Amino acid sequence: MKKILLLALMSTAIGFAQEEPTRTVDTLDISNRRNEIRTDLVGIVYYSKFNLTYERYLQKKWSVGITGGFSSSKKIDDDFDRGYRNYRPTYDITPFVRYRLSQSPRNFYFAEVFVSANGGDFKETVRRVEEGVAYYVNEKSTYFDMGIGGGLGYKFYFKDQFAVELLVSFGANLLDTEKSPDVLSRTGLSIGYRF
Amino acid sequence: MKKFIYLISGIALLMNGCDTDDDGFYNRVYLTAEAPVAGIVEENIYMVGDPLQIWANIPAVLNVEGQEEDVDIRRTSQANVFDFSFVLERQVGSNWEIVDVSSAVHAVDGAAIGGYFVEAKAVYNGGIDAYVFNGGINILQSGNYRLSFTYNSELTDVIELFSASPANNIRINIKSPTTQLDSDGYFYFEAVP
Repeated sequence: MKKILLLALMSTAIGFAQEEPTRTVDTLDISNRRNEIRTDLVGIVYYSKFNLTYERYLQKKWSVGITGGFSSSKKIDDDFDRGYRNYRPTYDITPFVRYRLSQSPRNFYFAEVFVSANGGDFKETVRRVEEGVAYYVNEKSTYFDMGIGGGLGYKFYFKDQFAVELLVSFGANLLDTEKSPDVLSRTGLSIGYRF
Repeated sequence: MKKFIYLISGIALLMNGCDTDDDGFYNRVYLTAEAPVAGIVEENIYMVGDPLQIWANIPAVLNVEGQEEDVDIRRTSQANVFDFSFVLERQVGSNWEIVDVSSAVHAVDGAAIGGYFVEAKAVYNGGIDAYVFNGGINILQSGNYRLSFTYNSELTDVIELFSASPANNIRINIKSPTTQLDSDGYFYFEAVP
């Protein structure tokens, strides 16, 4: 009985030992981690823009993703109220497509194109006339715009899971440029997790 | 890698300067008065001990250049004061030296703070519905003098006045036309003993 039990345990152990290399190759390799989430630290620290990106790696060198951002910056609020800027971005949703320019999936350059749906507050000084006398007043409104753009980036991983990404990507709004910002920027330094 | 970083840094710097919506000040209104609202009380002769008088009288509902309707500057700015400034210089040899007028400045209406320039305040007077300043500088020494209004202004052919609007309210810059200044923005006079 003891021999049978010992044999059974050894068989199990051998079985696990044989499965382990296969498991490492299949699930821990970076190519098999097809999902990634990350956040841009520069945006958070300098612009109080909180953002989260999800990226899905497809076959070969392509990936797709979406970034959601929400701004809440005291400096931008103050500048907006004092009249140093006439718009205040509050949110953006940015789907993107990327193509890896390098061979290695662990550190590589990439190119991206994106579209952006973005909105916020707008302020302008308007002239009014009342009973034959003119005066000026600040009027606030909101804006919503869609834009497109593209850029380049560099990304590397450590432990095949943790990503560091440098991105310089710019675009232009297209619909309501009287109110919305002309230039869209996705420049930043992000950290992420790939799973 | 280095070339790549230089490239994208360059692109980033170039693109950051491209947004035309994010330049300048948006709480400002620039108006040019149809007639002078500030100036110098000119005398035939200036004696030592006499004051050089400066005035400002800005109607709260102002007739402005290029607009059919008068503009209610008080309603627009919510300000009780309009500021302007001037500098007095005295000729010493071939040079012009700024005169310290700390002890020589005075105001009958409004307020004036003197030093190496005078910050004058035209204060709102509800009785006449206008911002008023009457004051000036007592001339303490004989010699050739010149006065300019360019301490807080780059313009030499007008006198600029700025509303002291409460925080986040619209600020108004008024350009008052003048014929009293030369092309460099100076009013010259001589004070005799």
